[in-house]
Amino acid sequence: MEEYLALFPYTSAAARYVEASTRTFESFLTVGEFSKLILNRSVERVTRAISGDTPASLIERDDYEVEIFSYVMARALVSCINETLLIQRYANAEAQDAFDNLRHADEPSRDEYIMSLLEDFRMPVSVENDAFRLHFTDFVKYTGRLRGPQWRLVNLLNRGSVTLAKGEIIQILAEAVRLKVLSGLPLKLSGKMCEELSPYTSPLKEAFSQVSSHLVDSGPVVLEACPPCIKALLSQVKAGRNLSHPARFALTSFLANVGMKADEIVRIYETSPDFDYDLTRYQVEHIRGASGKDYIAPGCSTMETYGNCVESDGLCKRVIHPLSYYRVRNKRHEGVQRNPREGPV
Amino acid sequence: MNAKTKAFLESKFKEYYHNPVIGLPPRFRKREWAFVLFDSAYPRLVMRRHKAFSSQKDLQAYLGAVAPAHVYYSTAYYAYPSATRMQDKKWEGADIIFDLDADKLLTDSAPSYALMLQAVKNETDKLLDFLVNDFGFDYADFSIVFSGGRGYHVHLREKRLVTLGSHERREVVNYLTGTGLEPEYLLRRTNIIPVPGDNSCWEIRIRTWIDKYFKRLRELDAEMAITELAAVKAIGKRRAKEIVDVMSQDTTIQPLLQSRLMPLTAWKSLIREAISQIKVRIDVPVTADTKRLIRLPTSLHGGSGFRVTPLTFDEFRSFKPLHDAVVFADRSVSVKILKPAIAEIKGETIKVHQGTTELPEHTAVYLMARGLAEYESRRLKSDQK
Repeated sequence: MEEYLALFPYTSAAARYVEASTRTFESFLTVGEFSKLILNRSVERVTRAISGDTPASLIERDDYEVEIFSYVMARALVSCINETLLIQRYANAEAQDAFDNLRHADEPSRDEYIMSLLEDFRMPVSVENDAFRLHFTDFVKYTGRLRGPQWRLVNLLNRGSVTLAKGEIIQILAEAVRLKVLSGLPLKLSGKMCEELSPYTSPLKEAFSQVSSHLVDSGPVVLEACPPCIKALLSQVKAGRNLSHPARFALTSFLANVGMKADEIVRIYETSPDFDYDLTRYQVEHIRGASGKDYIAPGCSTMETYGNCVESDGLCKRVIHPLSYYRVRNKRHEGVQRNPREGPV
Repeated sequence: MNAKTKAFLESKFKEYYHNPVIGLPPRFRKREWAFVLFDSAYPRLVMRRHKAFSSQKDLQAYLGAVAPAHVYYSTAYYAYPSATRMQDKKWEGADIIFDLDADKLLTDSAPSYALMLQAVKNETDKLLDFLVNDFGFDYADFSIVFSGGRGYHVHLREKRLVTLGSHERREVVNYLTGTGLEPEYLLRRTNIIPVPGDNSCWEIRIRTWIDKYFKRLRELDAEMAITELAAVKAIGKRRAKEIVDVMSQDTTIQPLLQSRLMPLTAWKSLIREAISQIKVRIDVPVTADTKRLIRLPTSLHGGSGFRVTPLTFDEFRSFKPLHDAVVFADRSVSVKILKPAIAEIKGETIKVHQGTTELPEHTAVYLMARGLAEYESRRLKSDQK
């Protein structure tokens, strides 16, 4: 049981364990061998999220509590740093660990973990010959980020449920873990608490800002790096065709997100038969965040629903967002390989 | 629409809202309400939003006093439904709505209103079959509503559905519209075409469609069957003849599958045709939206004067919108017709031309609400009848 809690410290079962424990949050900040272990491990959890490395340390029996409490502390660390992208990466890293832990467990433990996690996340299933039947509402909750026809409801639904193999259930559980870790983050912590954690958060912040500086779009917009859907919209505009509202939004927000200036975007629409300078300018500025809110271009699935996903290519199958496509292609232009899974979500 | 017409419509709507006929959606206290009134701006739609009601009595009193042209509530439930900023309302969940509208259905020149409504009703039937057969819902889980205008709404409030976000709802939309179904993938997955076993409902639907397609060909005379087949992509006249020969050997498509006479491209093109005929033409953004305003069932549609009519499945089967959704009387009203029009209400087809004429009240209200007529006066003589 403790092993399960240590491997999956974000479960409700683990939360109950923490709640029942006499150890308090504050006690980890006091000097002592145990709190040192906790803090070091929690820093390791966040470091791993920043660098993307897989963890080397295997859990020792004595370390169960360290695993459980370091998760609680790691949440505090990312909350104090309070960077959206870091929080997302942190959740991704925990999900990746969950996935690896399930994959590497021996068969009987794996089956036990799977059933416990499904119960913990309240996903009722019926199992027969290693085929899992899951209600479609649970399935769609956890497959939004997964690409490929084998994850689309349209290819799977039968009488309200979908049938999945064990490997697929593990992928779904990893996504459930990601969402579970994300929920509630950032925690609302007192300034005093974050101050006391600053010896730990400062180096992490530094490391993160080095990594994330590569993610900001800068430099001229590279049209060749645009995904096929955006290229198609551009050529429609060039051909003098009017775009539907969702298509126009997709194009404008995409171009704005990759750093095109408002004037340049407006110029693209000049050839539209229904071109209205002031209106277009207003729309572009609005999408660009003049109202104080930046709009993020719609993801692949939204593009698909509105019939704007066209001529998808090999790279499309590996990304879930047109912006990720752009970033990958753009980096390739610069001769740098990057992880295609990165990008807004 | 002149002031006299507006006043007349408002008085008729007031009469309707005077009697307690209003049905409320579950959790109505948590919903935002919105109204369009017969005010000076009307028929331009000025929405009065962010209202909330804590009791049925309050809402009924409001409707009775104001007699709105259109009544809407939010599909979403909020902690603070009357907050004026969306982010302050605190979303707690939302019904899922399927909107079937004639606009989304008919691309060719508009047939009559009655025929159009029939087409939308057939499409609604298709949707209900998907919801029950593929999604496993029960007929008791959803409420069907005639919108009072050009179609039907289907509301679902099943517990597991209401917390789904927009993204997840889009998966449901994609299912119904067959978006993301790739003939290549289907063929690869199931070797030529779906075979019984571990199939998705879509695969079974496509398989059934294909069976029917060949059954129909078998019933044609050979010459016609060949002509039809030859029109399918990648099947020439000679190949078509071979296929017809093989096909007629059996009542199933098994010999055809074994013979491998049909080129892959032809199968793909048939599957594509099957998908386009099977899919449901719903209004996509409505279902994906988690914060939509929807017309209140049992209210009146200001653009037609018809009752937004909630229906059980059995009622839906026999429902005749231009009869059953009519609430106004037969007595005569004098109106000035602005544009020639045809109205088919309560089984009577009335053709009107420009000028002043006498019409039954329900038809008069309909034409006024559509902006095709202005109010003149009520005929006293027919009133006494």
